[in-house]
Amino acid sequence: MKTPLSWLQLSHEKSRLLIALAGIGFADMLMFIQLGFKAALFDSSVTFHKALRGDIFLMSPQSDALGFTKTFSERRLYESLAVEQVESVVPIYLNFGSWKNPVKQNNKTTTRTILTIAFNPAKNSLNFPGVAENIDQLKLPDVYLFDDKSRAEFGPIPDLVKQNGTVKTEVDSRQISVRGLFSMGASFAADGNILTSDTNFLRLFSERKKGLIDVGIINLKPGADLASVKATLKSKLPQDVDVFDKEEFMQKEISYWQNATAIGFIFTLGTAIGFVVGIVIVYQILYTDVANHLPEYATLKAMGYKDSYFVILVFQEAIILAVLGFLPGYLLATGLYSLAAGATALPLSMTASRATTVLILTIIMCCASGTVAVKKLSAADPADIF
Amino acid sequence: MIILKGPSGSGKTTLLTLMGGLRSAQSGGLQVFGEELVGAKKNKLVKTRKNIGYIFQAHNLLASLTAKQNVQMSLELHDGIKAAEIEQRAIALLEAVGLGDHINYHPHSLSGGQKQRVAIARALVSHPKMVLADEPTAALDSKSGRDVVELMQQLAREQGCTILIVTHDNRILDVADRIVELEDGKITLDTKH
Ligand SMILES: Nc1ncnc2c1ncn2[C@@H]1O[C@H](COP(=O)(O)OP(=O)(O)OP(=O)(O)O)[C@@H](O)[C@H]1O
Ligand SMILES: [Mg+2]
Repeated sequence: MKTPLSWLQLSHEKSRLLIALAGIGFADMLMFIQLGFKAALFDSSVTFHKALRGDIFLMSPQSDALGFTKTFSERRLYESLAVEQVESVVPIYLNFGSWKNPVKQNNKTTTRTILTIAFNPAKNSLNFPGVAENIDQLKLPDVYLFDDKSRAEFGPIPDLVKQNGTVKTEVDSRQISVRGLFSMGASFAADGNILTSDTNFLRLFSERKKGLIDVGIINLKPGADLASVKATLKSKLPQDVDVFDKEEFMQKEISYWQNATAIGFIFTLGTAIGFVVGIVIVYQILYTDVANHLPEYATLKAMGYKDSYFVILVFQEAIILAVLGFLPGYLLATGLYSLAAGATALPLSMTASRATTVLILTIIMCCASGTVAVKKLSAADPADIF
Repeated sequence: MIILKGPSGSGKTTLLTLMGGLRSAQSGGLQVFGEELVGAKKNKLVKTRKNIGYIFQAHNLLASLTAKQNVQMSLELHDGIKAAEIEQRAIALLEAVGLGDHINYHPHSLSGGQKQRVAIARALVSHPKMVLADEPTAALDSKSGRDVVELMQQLAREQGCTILIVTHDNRILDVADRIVELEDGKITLDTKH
């Protein structure tokens, strides 16, 4: 084995190495946080879509995203039953309501906007934990299930439900009772969620007309051909509804957050800033390292080492810095993810694919800096050292 | 063992760097190991360098490497030598220059004379055909300067290689087999002992 000069040179000055690793770790942490929030935004925006039991979905063409839907007539849903391979349909109602926190804060009553989800409880259409166990409760008037991953500002509802079984409060000034919990999670659109029956929904939001729905679910018979049914529905149904399969349905939601808002751009920009900060830090380190070792490199050149040896040396140092700096960044980000997940109720966690992305970005970042630092090598002239 | 002397600015260092392939000669003729170096490509110069050991006025050791690793760097340049052999030869030469107890020291914890001895070991370990040394004793006191030169003489004899030393130090002239004097870029005296 050849003398690992790159590592020996880096590790020779411990404090400088530590500062370098802290800098790279910081840049990595920035990228992790930005990418993490971006992914959490998109993930959280489709947790509802993922949980809906269905093959094909109908929505108004004017609908933007969950919570910003325009209604359409449920007749469209029933028209689709005429298609041979369609087995059943489920209308879904969505609306924001004003939730009253049943526990007074500093002797003041607080309210907060909550997303109300409703469908006919005769058949469970939502794959969230807790829904199947509690769905029969929803058949009772003004009974609701509360999302236990809603933000804490709605009140300690999960604890109260577990203690007392029932929690009474008001939504849009109507008395309701929470008799159970389910787990969905906050999204960028909604900080909290409640679930009830279509009948209760129409009782609560008296301005909403029966028959005007937000999302329509279509279930196909076993063995049906999804693509052909989708095509048939698209041609048969009038233009006042859009037809999606599940993937398209989720993609529409994600595209909304990506394009119609600056959120996606902001997080991408944040990642880019982390990347640039990293390049500057690594460049500083590598440049100083090369500059400090110029007489030594000139000596090695005099001994007969080729120019390529030093280029490889600089890139080895770059990659060592990238990998070693990545580790503290990774650990720090994992910790921050769980802190932020606790504070925001967003599905924020470390994933292998994001870790890989950041590691690759770090290596690119370090090699970009290395490419610039390599230019300094030509200043090592063996004729100068005698 | 050849000593090259002459007044300051006479061109000693220039001649040394030309012979060693560290500078490229523009005109005239310059043959080293039978190869013409005038107008030679960089690759050829680098190849020539591999056959030459250098000893500088300042030791020019790599600060982040131990004495042993510094010496090994010179051997790793040559293909086909096994790692075990590289290590064993490096240790053997460090023992030969009297630093058997210091093989794992970094340069900053060695004295000036010890550092120069490591530099000698580094220059000679790969059995170069020629060693070029530019004022190797200038930074040392007369006793350790003398030791260093005698060590070079002894190792050169053992290995049968040529050593060219540039020096102003008249106290070491007696070790030379041949003394060349340079004045204003021209050889003015060439004596054999
Ligand atoms: N890079 C250079 N470019 C142009 N001229 C140079 C350069 N280096 C040295 N010279 C000139 O070449 C001549 C020879 O210099 P050289 O360094 O070889 O002298 P020297 O004999 O080694 O002197 P000293 O004993 O002081 O080390 C001097 O006149 C010097 O000014
Ligand atoms: Mg000189």
